[in-house]
Amino acid sequence: MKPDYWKRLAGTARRVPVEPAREMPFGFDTRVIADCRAQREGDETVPWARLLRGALVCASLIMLLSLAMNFQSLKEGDPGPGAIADSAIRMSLYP
Amino acid sequence: MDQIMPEAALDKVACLERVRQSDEEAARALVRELYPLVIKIVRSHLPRRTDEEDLAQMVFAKIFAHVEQYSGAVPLEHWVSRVAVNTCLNQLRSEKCRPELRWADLNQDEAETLEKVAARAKEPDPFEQLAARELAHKMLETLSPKDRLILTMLDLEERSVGEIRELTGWNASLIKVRAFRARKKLRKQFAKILKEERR
Repeated sequence: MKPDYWKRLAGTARRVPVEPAREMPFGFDTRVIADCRAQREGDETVPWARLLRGALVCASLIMLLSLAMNFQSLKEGDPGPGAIADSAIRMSLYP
Repeated sequence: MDQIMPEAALDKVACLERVRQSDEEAARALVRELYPLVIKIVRSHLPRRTDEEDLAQMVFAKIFAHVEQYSGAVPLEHWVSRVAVNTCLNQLRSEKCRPELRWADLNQDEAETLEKVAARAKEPDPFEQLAARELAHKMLETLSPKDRLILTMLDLEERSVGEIRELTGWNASLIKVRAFRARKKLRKQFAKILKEERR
C-alpha cells in the first residue's frame, strides 16, 4: 500500500500550537460600524440613483427621437453658402 | 439607549435586539464579543493576498446586514460561524488562480519537510512543524475553494463531518465525497512533486 503523504503532512502541521486569539485591534469596532453605516446609506440612495438613471435614459431617448423626426426639416432649413449663391445666380439669370 | 454593557457577561440576545434597532453601542459590544471567534475562522481559511482584518470586517458587515435573518433557533455563535465560513468561501472563490505546486516552488524548509514526510524521518521539531503547516496550506491552495475548506476543517482542524455540515450547510455525503476526491488529488500532487525531486 502506498504511503499517505498528505495524512503525514497534515498530522505534522496539526502539531503547531494554536495561536491564542489576538486582542481586537484598536478601532476595529469603529471601522465595522462606519462600514455598516456607509453601506446602509448607500442602500438608501440606490432607489434614487435608479430613478435618476431611468430618467436620464428616457430623456436621451426622447431627444434622439425628436432629432430623428425633425432631421429632414433641420437639414432643409439650413442651406449652405453654396446653395444661397446658386439660388442668387439662378434668380438673376431667370428673373 | 446608550447604557454601558459589562464585558464579562453580555446578553447576546438583548444585544442583538438592540442592534436591530440600530443601536451602535450594542453593535460595538457584539463586535468585541464575537471578534475572537470570527478571527479564528478567518485565519484558518484566509486566501492569499487577503488581510485577515479586512476579511473579518467583511464578516461583521455581513452579520449586521443580515441580522434580521437570525431567528434564534441556533446559538448565535453557530450562525456567526456559518456567516464567517461562507464569507471566507466566497473570498476563496474570488481567487481565480490556483497554480499547481511544483518542486521548484518550495522553499528550502518546505522541501526538507517534504523529504522528511516522505522518508518518515524522526519526530519533527517545532520549526519543521511550522514548515509543514506552510506546505500543507500551499498544497491546499491548489484545490478548489470547497475542497480546500473541507480538508482544512477535516484534516488540519480535526473537525467532524457533522460540525462541517453545521458550518456549511452541505450534506454529509457531499462532504465525504469531496474530501475523498481532494485527498486523492493531493496524493497525486505529492507523487508528482516527489518524482520531480528524484529526477
